[in-house]
Amino acid sequence: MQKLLSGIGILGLAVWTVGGAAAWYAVKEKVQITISEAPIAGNRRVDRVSLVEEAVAGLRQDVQALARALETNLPALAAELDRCAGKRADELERTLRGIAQRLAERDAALEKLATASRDHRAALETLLARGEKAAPGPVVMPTAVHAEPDPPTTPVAKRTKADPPEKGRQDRNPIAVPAQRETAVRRFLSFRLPSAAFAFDNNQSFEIIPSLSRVGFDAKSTLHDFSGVTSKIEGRFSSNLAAPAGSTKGRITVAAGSLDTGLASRNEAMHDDHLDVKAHPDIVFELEDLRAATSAASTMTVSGTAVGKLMLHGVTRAVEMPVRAKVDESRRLFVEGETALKLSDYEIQAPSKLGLISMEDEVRIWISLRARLGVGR
Amino acid sequence: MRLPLACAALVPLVLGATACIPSNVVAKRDRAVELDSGGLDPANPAWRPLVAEDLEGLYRSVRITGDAAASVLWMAYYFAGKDGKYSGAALVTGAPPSFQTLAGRFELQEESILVMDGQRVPARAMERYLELATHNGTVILERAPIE
Repeated sequence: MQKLLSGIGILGLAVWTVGGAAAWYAVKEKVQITISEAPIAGNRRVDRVSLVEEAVAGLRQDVQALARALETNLPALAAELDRCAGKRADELERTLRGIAQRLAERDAALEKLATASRDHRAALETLLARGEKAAPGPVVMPTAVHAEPDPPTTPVAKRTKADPPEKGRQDRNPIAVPAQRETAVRRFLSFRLPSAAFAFDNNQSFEIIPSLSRVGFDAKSTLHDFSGVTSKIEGRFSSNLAAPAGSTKGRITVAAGSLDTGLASRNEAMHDDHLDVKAHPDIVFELEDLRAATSAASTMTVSGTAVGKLMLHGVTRAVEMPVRAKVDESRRLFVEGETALKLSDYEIQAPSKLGLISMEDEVRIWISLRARLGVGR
Repeated sequence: MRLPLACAALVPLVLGATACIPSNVVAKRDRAVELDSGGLDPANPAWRPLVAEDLEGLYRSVRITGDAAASVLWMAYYFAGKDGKYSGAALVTGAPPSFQTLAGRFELQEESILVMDGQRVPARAMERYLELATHNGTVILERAPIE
């Protein structure tokens, strides 16, 4: 059955193919295909120039439409461009300000760093200097400027809260100062201060300030009294002002040839004939102690009797001089005192003119000294 | 006899000569060296709030008080510019004494607070003077001419 169907199929296919070939053969000579131009309306021939003109006119219309469109849109475009430019300029300006601020901050930070570096260097130098004096040991570099207080070479003590404000200030309404913590390196308006600080209750060394000091004598004579004064004074002394008895020592030197009585001829006679300044140029007071001393930390005042030896005209004798001392607002020690001495005790002949006008043998010597902490001078 | 007479004759001469010399005893109150007030009127300090114009220029210290003066700042100079920067020099004790120099920034804030490198310093002015105060001292500066 299956073979029968296959044979029928093959036979059908052969018949369809032969039929198709016969039909093609029959009609191939009777079909003709012709291609030609279609006639234009009105049988008019195509004018190429007109076509170009039409195209140009169309283009012109397009350009004119574009121009009209641009004419209305350009201002809007310009406004938009302006707005964008302004916004961008603002952003740039803000950025520039930010950069300037950051630069300023970095500048300030660098300056602080430089200051800190100087402080570190000073601290290191101090430590090294101490290390040379002390027993060998590791030198520790401070890790921060304000990390550890710099131990002063002279012991430091702070004023107690009970201490009253300074007297003698000009302004009755002193400027208010905010409390600040102590820093390792003591600074004042950014200047680095030496490590020593004034302390009333510790042993400290003071140095005479010649320009702010005077010593002199008052003499009496038959007709007129006079004083001899000088500021050519050198010296230093040490004292614990809170407990001066037993802690006060020093040496003060006065240039004898600088004593001035206000009269040249009298000065000449005094220097040459009586004090013999060429042989004994200096008047020296060796301060040995301050006896019967009283001290008041609240007012920063001290009083007592200065005892020591005075070398005058080559003669040395013990002297005692009642003195008062006060710490002023600039932390200078102001010392005043006076006592009497006899010229004859120092083998000085009292001046006399013809035995009629003579100077008394006893003169009063006085001191008015200002001294400040002696730091490394 | 002639010698006493001669001496007697000399007495008026000597007395006359010495009478021309006035007494010049220094009074007790004048013994101390008078401190330089720097031109300030101690009886009437008329401090006023600080304004920016007060700061610009060269200043030198005329008085330093407090612990800073003790330990031991002798003299300080500051120059402040319009750009908010300042420089300074100060003579401090040492072996030997030496000048320290510094530079930094300043800014005037409210209520006469001067900020110097981050440190708030109360300040006020009077004529050609400035007063700057810190916890360890006060300095009065006088405007100095630059010649």
